[in-house]
Amino acid sequence: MKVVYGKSGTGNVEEAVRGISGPKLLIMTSGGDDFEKNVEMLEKLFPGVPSIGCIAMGYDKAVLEKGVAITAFIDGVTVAAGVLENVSVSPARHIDRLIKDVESVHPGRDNTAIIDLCAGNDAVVMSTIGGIMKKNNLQIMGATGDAGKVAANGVVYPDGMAYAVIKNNTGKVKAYKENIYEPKSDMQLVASETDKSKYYVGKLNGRSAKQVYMELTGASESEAASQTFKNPLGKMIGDDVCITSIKDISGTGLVMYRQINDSDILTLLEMRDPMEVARETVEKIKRDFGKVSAIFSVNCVFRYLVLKDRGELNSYLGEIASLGTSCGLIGYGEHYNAQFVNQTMTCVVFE
Amino acid sequence: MFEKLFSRNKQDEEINNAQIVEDQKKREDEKTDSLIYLAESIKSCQKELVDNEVKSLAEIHDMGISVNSVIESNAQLREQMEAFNTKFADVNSSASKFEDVKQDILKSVEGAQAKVEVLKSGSQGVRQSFDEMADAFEGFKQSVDQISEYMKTIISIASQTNLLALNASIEAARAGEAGKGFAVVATEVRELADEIKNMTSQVNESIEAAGQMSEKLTLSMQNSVEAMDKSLQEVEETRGSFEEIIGSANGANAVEREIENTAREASDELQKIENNINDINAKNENLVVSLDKINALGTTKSSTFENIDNLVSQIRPIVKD
Repeated sequence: MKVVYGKSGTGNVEEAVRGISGPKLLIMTSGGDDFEKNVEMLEKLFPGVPSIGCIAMGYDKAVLEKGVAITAFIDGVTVAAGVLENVSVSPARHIDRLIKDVESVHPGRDNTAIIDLCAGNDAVVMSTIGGIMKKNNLQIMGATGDAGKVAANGVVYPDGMAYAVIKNNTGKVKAYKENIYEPKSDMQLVASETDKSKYYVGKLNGRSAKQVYMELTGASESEAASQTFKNPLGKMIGDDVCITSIKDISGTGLVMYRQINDSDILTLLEMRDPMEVARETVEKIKRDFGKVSAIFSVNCVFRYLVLKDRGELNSYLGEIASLGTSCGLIGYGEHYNAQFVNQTMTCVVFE
Repeated sequence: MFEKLFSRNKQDEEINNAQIVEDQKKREDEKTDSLIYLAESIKSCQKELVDNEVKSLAEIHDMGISVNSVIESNAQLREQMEAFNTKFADVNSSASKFEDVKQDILKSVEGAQAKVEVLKSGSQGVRQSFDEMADAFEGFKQSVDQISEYMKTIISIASQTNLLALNASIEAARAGEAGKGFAVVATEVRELADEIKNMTSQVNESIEAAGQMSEKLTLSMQNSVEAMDKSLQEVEETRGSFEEIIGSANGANAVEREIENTAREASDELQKIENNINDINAKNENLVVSLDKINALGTTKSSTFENIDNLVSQIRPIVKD
C-alpha cells in the first residue's frame, strides 16, 4: 500500500492534492474558516472517492499550523467511509451504516482498521462501536476534531462521527497508544459524585477531588488546571492507563476533558522524557512489523504544546517518521481501540 | 338501499381501519414504553451496581492501605529484630573478649608465677646459705669451745708453772746466796706464768664475748631462717592464689559459653519469629497481589459500567426518535 501526504499553507486544496492520483481514501484536515469550502472542493476534485475530514492541524515531519493537509491512501487498500450522526445523543441510531461498511470490506484477521474523526461525546461513541470492533477483530484509531463538526464523503455533519474502514490488502494493521506520562505512584483514587454530562469529578477516595489533586501535586487552585501538563490523571483499566486531562476547577471538584464515572479508578501521572518514549514506540513497532508502509497518527493538542514548548516537536515527529511514511493530525481527544483518551499519541500502522 | 348499505359498509370499514391503526399505534406505543421502561430499569440497576462498586472499591482501597500498613509494620519489626540480632552478635563478640582478658590474666599470672619460682628458688638458696652458715657457726662455736678447753689447759699449766716457780723460789731462798740467781729466774717464771694466766683470762673473756656474739648471731640466723621459712610459706600460698586466679580465669570460659549459648538461643528464637513474620509478609503480599487483581478487575468493571451506561442511555432517544 502507499500513502501520500500533501499540504497547502494557504488552504488551497488543489495545491495540497497535487501529485495525488487514483486515491482510495482521502483524509483532510483544514482550518475552521474554510472547512466547508475545502470539503466541497475535495469532493469536486475527487468525486465519489471515500473521504473524511475535520477541523485540525495536520502534520508529517512538521506541523502545518494553518492551511489544509490531505492524506491519500493510493492503493493496496479496500475502503468504506461513512458517518454516524447526532452522536451527542445517540451514536447508535445509525450504527447499521457502520456495520454494513465494515461488512463491505470483508475484514480479515489483523488487517482492518477504523480511522474516525469525531465531533464530540467521544466516550459514548467509543462504547457504541466497541462491539463492532470486537466482533470483527478491528483496530480503531481516531481523534476529536475542533468546532463540533466533521465531514464524510463531501458532506459536512455537525455533531457527527466520520469514519473510514480501511482494509490493508498487503499486510496487517495495528493500532498503538503512546503515553509520555506514567503513574507517579501506586496510589489509586476512586472517583465518585461524578457528572458524566459535565465531565465532572466531585470526589476522589471520598474527599474533595480538587483538594486531593492540589495536595498530590502541590499546585494552588489557580495553577491546578495548567498542572495537567505535568500531572494529568490516568484512568486505570486493568493494566492499562488512559490519560484524562484536567480542564478546570469547579466548586470542590474537577472538570475533565473526558467522561469520568462513579467507581472509575484514577491515578496521578507524571511526565517522562518524550524523546525516550518515542524511541521506545519506534522500537516496539519495529519488533511488530517487518516493513512499515505508513503510519497515520493523532497527537493531542496538549502534547503538541508540551513538545513545542520543549523545542522537541520536529525531533519527535522525525523520530516517528523514521519508521516510514508518517502523517496525522493534532486532535482534541484521541481514540485507541474503543478507548477515549487525552494527552496521548495514537496511531495505526500499516504493513 | 344498496347504496346506503354500501355506504354504511364503507364507513364501517373506515372505522375498522382507523380502529386497527389506532390499535397498532397503541401497541407500538406500549412496546416503546416497555422498551423505555426496560432501559430505565437497566440504568437504575446499573447505577445501583456502580454505587455498590464504589463502596466495594473504597473497602478494597482501605483494605489495601491496611495490608500495606501491616507490611510496613512487619518491615519495621523485622528491622528491629535484625537490630536485636546485631546486639546479640555484639554480646557474642564481647563475650569472646573474655578469652582475650583471660589469656592476658593467665599470661600475667604465668609471669608472676615464674617470678615467684625465682623468688622461691632464691629464698631456698638463701635458706641453704643460712643452714651452711649455721653449720659454720656450729663449727666455729666448737672451735671456740676447743680453744676455751685449750685455754683452761694453758691456765692449768700456767698455774702449775706458777706453783713450780713458787716452789723454786722457796727452794732458792733455802739455798741462800747460791739460790739467789735461781730465785730471780723463778720469780720471772712466776711472773711469766701470771702474765700467761692474765693473758689467758683476757683470751677467755674474748672467747666468752665471741661465744655470746655467736649465740646472738645464731639466734638472728634462726630468726632469719624462720622469717625465710615464713616467706617461703607465703610464696607457696601466693602460688596457691595464682592457681586460684587461673581457676577463676578458666571459670570465665564457662560464663562466656553460657552467654554465647543464651545469645544463640535468643537469636534462634528471633530467627523463628522473623521466619514467622516473613511467612506473614509473604501471605500479605499474596493478599496484596489478590487485591491488585481485584482492583484491576474493578477498573475493568468500571469501564464496562461506562459502556453499559453509554449504550443504555441511547435507547430512550432512539425509541422516541
